[in-house]
Amino acid sequence: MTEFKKTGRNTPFWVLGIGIAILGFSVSFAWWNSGQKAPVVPEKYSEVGGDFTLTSDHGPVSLQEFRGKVGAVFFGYTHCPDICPASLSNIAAAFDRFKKTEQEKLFGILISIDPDRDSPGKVSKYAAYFHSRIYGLSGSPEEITAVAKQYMVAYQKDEADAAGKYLLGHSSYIFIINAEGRVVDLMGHKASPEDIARVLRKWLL
Amino acid sequence: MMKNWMMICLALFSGVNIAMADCGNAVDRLSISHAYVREMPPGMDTTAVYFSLINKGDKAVYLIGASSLLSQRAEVHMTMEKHGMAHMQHQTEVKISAGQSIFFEQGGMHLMLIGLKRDVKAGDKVPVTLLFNNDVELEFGAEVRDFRHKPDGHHH
Repeated sequence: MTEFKKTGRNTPFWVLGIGIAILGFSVSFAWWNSGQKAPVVPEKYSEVGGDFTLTSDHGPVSLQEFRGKVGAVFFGYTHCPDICPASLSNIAAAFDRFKKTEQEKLFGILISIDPDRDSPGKVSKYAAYFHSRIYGLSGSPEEITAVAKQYMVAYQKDEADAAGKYLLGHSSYIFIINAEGRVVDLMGHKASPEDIARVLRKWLL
Repeated sequence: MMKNWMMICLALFSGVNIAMADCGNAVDRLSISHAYVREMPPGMDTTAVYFSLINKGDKAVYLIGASSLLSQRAEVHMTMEKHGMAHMQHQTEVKISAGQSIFFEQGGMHLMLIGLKRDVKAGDKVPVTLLFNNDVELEFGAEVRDFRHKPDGHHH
């Protein structure tokens, strides 16, 4: 009994120490965990995103159709030689890092910012080459302008060459969309498949 | 070890070949490795060539042009990014200093093939010719690669 009392008198310091450590750890973990789930979008882009309806080779496609799924939306064009195929390859490779059953909860959308040359059929086939879960969409120039504005995507035709061929400068972000259809992260075009897969997985859970 | 051997075989297989003009040795001092062409979806008329170019000589050389039998034109482009907006910038002259290696890679400098005469499929070999100052030409074959499953074209 006395011995018990003795220990009882000596322990509070280290018990308290451990208690504080555990508490501190829990608080910081909770903070870190909530931080992990909060949208990671620069202030300037905090309002971007929203639903849209554009056209694929199978008719109209709306972002609303992908509720419950996590996706990557990219603006590009089929004549783009470097960044667009690189980003789409990286998104495809990111999807391949998921099990087939998980892949059903993922989607990719390529929105053409070159509707004059990219018909819905052309951009759909182009996107599907990279992955069966990447949908290529186009629309009228007005529709594309409206969606680009929603996502704060800038694009500009460069001067055409003698053969009438031209390139476009364009925003190269990959917009990560959560199950509620919100933009929750912006990734640069140099993001690796691992980076993209990690972010998709975070929002899939 | 295996990887090193594969690299060596690949380098040999890439068959850097010199068709040259200036009886000088400039071409001997230039070498190409890790040359790949991006496979594109059928019907696309542009693609990009990626490679490493090393100048082992003691003088700077200037890359001033390029061509390929497979495309109407070939141009060196640099992907520039500013405030999340990417632009291609045509490079009319690229200096490779003595001892310098230049990497043509995704999202950076790349050789753009414009006006493809046919679809290129993974495994195909695309002939490419680089033109340097003093009429030096460097020819090499770049293998078409499907980047969807091995998207990382980096090699350094």
